[in-house]
Amino acid sequence: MAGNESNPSPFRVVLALDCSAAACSAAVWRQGAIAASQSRPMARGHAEVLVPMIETIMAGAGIGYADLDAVAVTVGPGAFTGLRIALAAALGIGLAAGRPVIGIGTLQALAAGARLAAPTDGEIAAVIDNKRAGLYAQRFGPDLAPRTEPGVFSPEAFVATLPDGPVLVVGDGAPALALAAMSGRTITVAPGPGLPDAGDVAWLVAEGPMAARLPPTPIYLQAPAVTLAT
Amino acid sequence: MLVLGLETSCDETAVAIVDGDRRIRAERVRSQEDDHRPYGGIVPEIAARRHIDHLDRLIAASLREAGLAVTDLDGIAATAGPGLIGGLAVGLTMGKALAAVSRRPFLAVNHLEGHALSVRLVADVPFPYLLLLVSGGHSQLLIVAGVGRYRRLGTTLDDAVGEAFDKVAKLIGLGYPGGPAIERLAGSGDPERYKLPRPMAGRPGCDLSFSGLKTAVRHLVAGLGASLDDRVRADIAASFQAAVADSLADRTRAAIAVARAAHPGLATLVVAGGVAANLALRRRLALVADSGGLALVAPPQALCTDNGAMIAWAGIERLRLRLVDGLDFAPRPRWPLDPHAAPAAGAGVKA
Repeated sequence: MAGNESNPSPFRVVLALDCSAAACSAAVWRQGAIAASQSRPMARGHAEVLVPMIETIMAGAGIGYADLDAVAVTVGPGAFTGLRIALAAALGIGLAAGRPVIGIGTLQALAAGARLAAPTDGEIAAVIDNKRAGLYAQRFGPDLAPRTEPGVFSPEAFVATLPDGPVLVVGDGAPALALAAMSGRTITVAPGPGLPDAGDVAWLVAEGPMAARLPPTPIYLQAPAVTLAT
Repeated sequence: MLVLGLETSCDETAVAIVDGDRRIRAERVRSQEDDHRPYGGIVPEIAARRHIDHLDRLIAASLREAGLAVTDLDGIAATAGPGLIGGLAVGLTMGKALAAVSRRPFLAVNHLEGHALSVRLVADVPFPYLLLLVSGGHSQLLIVAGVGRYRRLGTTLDDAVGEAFDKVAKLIGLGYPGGPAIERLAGSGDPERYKLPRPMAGRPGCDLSFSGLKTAVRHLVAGLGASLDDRVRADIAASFQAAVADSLADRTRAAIAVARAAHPGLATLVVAGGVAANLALRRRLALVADSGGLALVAPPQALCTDNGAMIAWAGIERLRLRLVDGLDFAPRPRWPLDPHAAPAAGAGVKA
């Protein structure tokens, strides 16, 4: 897989968390594979479910927090409250266990999930339907290295940025993108629910490209909706 | 006994480590006033962003200052409500994570119980006592019968008193937060220059109300025209503060009568919450307590505004009674101290 031989990761045992979309998931990566994982669809309630879920999968993997090399967490873009809940848990575990906390872009995690499920030679476009403001979108190479920064786009504007040739699209914004691309070019939509998964986040930290690792701070892409006092 | 307390329910990111001998071993408070000032009030999304930016750093600094590891603690306490959901989720989740890793008991603390018990961190105040809890989010009169045992006698029907301070400050061109600004200016003003209503004074029961007083100040300011000179602004501040003092004094007198009927041995009136930092109001309440045969006890100012020490202390009080919570505890944006009290119309979380 990408990068692991030329650039071995120091993180062999990784706990990964994701609450960035309409699901809550956690996974433990150990000895080159997922040792335990859980994922539950949910629009809200992450603050209630996440820490017990972590306890369950840690027990399922048969390890303690001291056995971890790192904690990984999706940092966005995504649902603001969910991002902060997963980050709060990751930072708390990192602090108490004395382990580094590594951020992974939500769009990067989606791209990794698509690439792991179906190898491709072309670009991967990860798109999240942000409901209010269009799409959160980012492009990656077939090696999963980011080719653009994450940004907010209309479907039409993002389609216009895509290169010629085959593009694999992943994420819950894929239908909107496919619609915008109707006239002219063809894009392939990756199978599956299009939600980020903690297992892919763990894989990215343990075996993925170095460029995927980010600081553990939220990527909101949008300012808070407020008006200045007059 | 050592407990870490985390407070993220509003616009202070606060952390403290307190021991069973009532010593604050370390404390950090990061106020977000500068972050919210341009908007003239608290913006929930900004508050939540600042909490996640700073909380873990403040915890690490507190542990370092106290010379402790997480495993030296006997419990982890975090505010679980009432308050702004985005901030609550941050503090609650980080607290649970610390508890999970360290295998220590987790305590989901009611922010209002933090205020209610904070006096016992600094003084020997036995139960029961009468509590006037006055802050930017809450205005209530309660009998504190014990840890987790509260009877609400009265609550605001509309705005919290601290909210009224903020809004009046805005009306007369003072900055945010308004409480300290009004108190400063009122010191040089004439409290009798403007006749303002004394909300709820003389009414049956112990409920409070501050929306009408705020409206009266708005009409007064509108009637005075465009330019308010310094003299006028000081007199408005003083007149407003006097009206609040009279209203709180009347409501507290009514509550003393009810509380004394229920608990003949009642000896103490406690005033807590951010507005309890106002010294003019404290002086007035001391007179009310005295004439009711009670001693007034107020925590020092740093314990009146939101802080981590009161959450850690409430955690200690709860841990001593083994009132421990699960790691599945959900944040509670609304969480009345007295679950039997009837909801007050229009008061929202302020009840």
